[in-house]
Amino acid sequence: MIDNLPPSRNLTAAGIAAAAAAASAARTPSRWLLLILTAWGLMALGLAAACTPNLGASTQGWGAVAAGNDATVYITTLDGQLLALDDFGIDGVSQRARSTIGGEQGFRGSYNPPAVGLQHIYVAGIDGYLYAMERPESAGTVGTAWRNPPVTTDEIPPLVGSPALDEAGRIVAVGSEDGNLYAYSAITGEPLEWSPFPAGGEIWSTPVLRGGKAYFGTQAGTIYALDLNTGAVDWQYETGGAVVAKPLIHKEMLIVGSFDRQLYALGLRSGDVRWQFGAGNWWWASPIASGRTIFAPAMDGKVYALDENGSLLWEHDLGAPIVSDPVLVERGLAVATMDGTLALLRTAETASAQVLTSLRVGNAEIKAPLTTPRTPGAGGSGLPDAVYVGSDDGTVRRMRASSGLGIEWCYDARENRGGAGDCPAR
Amino acid sequence: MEFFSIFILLWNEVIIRPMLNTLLVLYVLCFSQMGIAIIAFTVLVRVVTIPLTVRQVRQMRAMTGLQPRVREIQERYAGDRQRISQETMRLYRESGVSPVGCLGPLIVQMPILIGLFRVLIQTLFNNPEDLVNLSDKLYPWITFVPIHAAAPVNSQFLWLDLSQPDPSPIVMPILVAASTWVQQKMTQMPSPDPRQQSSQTMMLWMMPIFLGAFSLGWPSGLPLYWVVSNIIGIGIQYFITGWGPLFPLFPKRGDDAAAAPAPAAANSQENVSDAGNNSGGSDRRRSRRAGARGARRRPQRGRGRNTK
Repeated sequence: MIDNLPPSRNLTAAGIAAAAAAASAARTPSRWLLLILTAWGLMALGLAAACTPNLGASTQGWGAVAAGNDATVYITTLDGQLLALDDFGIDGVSQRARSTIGGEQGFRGSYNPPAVGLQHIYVAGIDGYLYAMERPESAGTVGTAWRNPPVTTDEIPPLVGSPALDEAGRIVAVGSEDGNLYAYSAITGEPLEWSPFPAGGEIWSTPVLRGGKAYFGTQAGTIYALDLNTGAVDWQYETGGAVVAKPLIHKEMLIVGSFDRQLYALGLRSGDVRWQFGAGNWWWASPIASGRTIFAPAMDGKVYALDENGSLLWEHDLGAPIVSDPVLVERGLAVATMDGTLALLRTAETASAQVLTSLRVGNAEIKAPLTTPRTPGAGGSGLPDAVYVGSDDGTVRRMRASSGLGIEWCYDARENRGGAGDCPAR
Repeated sequence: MEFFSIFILLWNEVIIRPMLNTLLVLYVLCFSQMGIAIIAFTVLVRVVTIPLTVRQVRQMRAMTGLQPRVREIQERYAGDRQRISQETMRLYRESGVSPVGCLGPLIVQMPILIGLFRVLIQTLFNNPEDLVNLSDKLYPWITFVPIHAAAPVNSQFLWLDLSQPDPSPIVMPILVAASTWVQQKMTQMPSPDPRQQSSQTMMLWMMPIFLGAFSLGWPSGLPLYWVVSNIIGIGIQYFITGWGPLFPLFPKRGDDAAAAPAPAAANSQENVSDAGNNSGGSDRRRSRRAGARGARRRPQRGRGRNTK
């Protein structure tokens, strides 16, 4: 029986062979066999633990990620599709158009929401291509306007960050894992003269295009301010860790967190450090500002409220890492933790944090950025009263954020169905 | 479910997190060279587990040395399984050998090996999914070395991207297979039992072949760990037992002394010779060595103690 054991792939096979000899010799198979089976079981567990999970090939994005525009929600799905959904608010949701982009294999999903332009929807695919999709005006299939790079090549590094549009919607830029920032004409897809810009480090950060400049960070820890017309570097700043968060521009400051656990506020024109603030873990989510307060969620699970000088006003521990970008809604700040909890915090200047409400959303992790409808709510603040939440299981929910948190509708992109209320359990 | 949750918690807190943080500390100290960090980490783990390894090797050798006498017991009490069991256990006890001692260190080392795999996988892959999951495994209190800023790690080492299979693509698989073969060959003990001999021979060839084949598709950080670990294992084995069956013509001084407890070798000459007749030239060489050992020992001591 022992001789029939399969060959081990472990260094300790000789030990097992010796144990087998002991078992054979002792003629008390039950005891020794138990020990040997235990060892083999552990090894099997090891093989399962070591080899089964993603050996580097499991990149599929963070579930459905959504971008809202008027009454339309655009969703990129795990199986490589772009869906256009009609958002009827509390009355539910229905699919208007869909497209499998990137050929038969699809674009393999995306990590961040598409950018919604005047003519096109821009999708950064894990397959490394930037797709400009036609905006669907009616039901049917969405066509591809252009794709960059235009020719199909072998494995190209993925695009992790979202594409970004300038204020006029004429330039679209995206960072790549190949260490380049690419900038194209948003209409034709022609690369700008200086594109690509070699940044010297993989780019996961979604760039921000403002005032003719592109602001973004790299995994090498550099934050760049780049002139969009010439591709020249206006300034650059070296942080102590990777920068994957999308920067925030707030009152002549560029505010962005780094993996060195510091949140940096840099002068928008000069790149000089105005202040920095330390957290207990990485900064992955983008900070957001409301009035004079900057809200910065970190991967230590805390939301930090800072004033414009970087002084801590309050902090609140939500209990799980925060990867998803927060959004502002009428009633306050909506923040999602990785464990799937959505919390609503008061944004009024107070001495301590006030959690208005929180709700467990679905049964999956939330890592995709939160987004909102563009339509403002009825409260008169100009802010929306709902949040789109994309979960890792491929579901997207529109959450009411006006009077408490509630699910208005849910769309299951894997099952390709949705409606008012929550998604049925799978 | 409760048990499973506790197991996962213990697994993460006792095995994964300490190893992962140690690897990242080494990565920072090794000038952000993951290849060197993996080598240093492997050395560290092997050094920490040296007592276990030494004990395991010695127990294995002692156990193998007792086989002729075990076989004698089996022949003497053929048909009475309970008596065979009692006498065998008594023999082990009196010789200071614990069969569990052979397997115990193995079981203790197993979580370390499995944990190493997981740690390497979690640190080497730099896709967003893996990196997100890495963050909450970092100790926040490690401030003397900036491990938080170390991620994502630089996975380039020599010609290898440690998160990808060897681009050559055969260098690492060949090194894995060769080092595994050498280490196994050194730990292979002459056995009087032809069935066990055959099993050992199968292991000797199948394991390196399998491992080499697996490592064709492994991220090359894992084969690197494997090769370094094997080389260290070979070194430890050499200092304990010499080259053993690897170079039978040039035995290390003191090789014989470490081979087995003195009583065990009493009958090895005749028994191993039997086995050698069944299995070719290499076994004949072993039988000559075993015979030489047996000749230098007092043959009656061990036998007399257990003869009734």
